[in-house]
Amino acid sequence: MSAAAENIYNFAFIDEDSKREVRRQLLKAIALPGHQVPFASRDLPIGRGWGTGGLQITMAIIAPSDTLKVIDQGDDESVNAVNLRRLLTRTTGVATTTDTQQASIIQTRHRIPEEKMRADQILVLQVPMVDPLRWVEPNLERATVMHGEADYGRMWVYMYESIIKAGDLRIATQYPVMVAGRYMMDTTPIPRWDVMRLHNADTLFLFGAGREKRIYAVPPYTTIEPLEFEDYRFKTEYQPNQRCHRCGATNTFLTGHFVKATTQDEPGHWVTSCSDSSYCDKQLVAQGIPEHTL
Amino acid sequence: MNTAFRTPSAFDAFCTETYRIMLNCLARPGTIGQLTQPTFLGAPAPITNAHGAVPANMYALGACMSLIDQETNFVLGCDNAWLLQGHEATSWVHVRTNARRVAPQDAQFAYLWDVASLALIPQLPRGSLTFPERSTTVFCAVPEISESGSWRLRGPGIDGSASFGTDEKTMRQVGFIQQTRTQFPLGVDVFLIDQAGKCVGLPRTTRIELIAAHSVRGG
Ligand SMILES: [Zn+2]
Repeated sequence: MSAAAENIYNFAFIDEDSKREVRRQLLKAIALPGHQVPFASRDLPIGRGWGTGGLQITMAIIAPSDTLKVIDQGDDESVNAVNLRRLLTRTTGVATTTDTQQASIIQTRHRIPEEKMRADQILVLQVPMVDPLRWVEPNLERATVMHGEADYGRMWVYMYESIIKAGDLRIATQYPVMVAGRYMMDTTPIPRWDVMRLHNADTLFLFGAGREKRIYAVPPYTTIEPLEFEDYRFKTEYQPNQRCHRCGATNTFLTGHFVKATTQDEPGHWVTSCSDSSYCDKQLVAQGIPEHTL
Repeated sequence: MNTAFRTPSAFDAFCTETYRIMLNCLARPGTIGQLTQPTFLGAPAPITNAHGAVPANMYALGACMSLIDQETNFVLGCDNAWLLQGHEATSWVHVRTNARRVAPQDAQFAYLWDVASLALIPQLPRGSLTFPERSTTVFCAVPEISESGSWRLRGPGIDGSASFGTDEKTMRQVGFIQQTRTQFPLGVDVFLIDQAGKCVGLPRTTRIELIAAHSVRGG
């Protein structure tokens, strides 16, 4: 068997001491909802910023009996999702799926799957930017002290000013929330669409940032309150007339694609479809469209 | 799919399996998890005291040992006293994990042999406002955990309220756990593990009340 020579990786790639480190810090993160716990992030054969924080969480918790789903931008087939999935399956042998319902662990960037996740599932989010206070306090040590003292006044002022000024939306995909009434947490990089889906959910959410070496968590049944003001309420990206051009869904988070001109009668134009591609496919199959034609 | 990984050792496989149970118990306080016993580890010699020779609960000590290594430290408590550096049981854990025994006020992990030792919890660190994670995680062996009973829990991870039961002796010690959740985010996170490996996680966010048995039955 030539495979024997290739049996070189530890189960789930990282060594057992690294797993234990992540495991210990995840327990702290759960006991301190929304608090960023430092961890000794390891180098992985994937560039930082491409999901190494989430990847280390998945590697620390995954067991041979798990069924894994990996998505990026809501899509199971994006290059990044495919690479992460390949590394994980090669080093664990676990079953994989694109079906949200079938997965026990879902690793994701940008999205929470459209289908409601259950209590027996874990969502692992890859986080590029951790601290919501970076807008008002770039020094990480001082920001840590501010979190410790729940000193969030400057952040509230910043939020209010940026909303008034611009109607604003630098914070569109990094909307700050209060977790369990105590810690302010960034929701990067999920859209506002998904923010309230963290609130009192059945599922455990684990967040990992490899570059910034931080782990945090939102346990199930935990309150999530977006920063909002009496005169400026938190709003998602929902548009009253929105519709997926593939499956017709009117209640999903959509992404735009440009369709190139084919003939002179058919000029180039933008269409929108579900960002959760597996959900979109499922709707089409339910409408009687054969799966192999998707 | 071509796979390329070594089969995990018995201990590594045990750590992975045990971790998911602990993770679920801590994320969902009141949920009873079933731990496995790491029989391949053996066990330290029972500790002889006024109550006779008391064996370690290897479900609980095994769960604690699955999280510690040369990067971390621990302390053991039995019969409401800390076991010293040179104690046989301390050496037994150290040799198998490489974790160091430290003074209680510096401990990251504590294994408590019996519920009497829950009275030692006030001596353990609760973290600081800046670093609330620099606190102890406690594994305490208890006689019995059951699905229903007087422990009423509220807080993150719990849909409304949750309840579970323990023997009387454990109930009498509840105050030592309650005291660790008056200064959030400071606090101590506790796992209670019974003789059959039933495990309950009580993170510092969990508010605990003991309620009379008749109101438990009433719903
Ligand atoms: Zn669609």
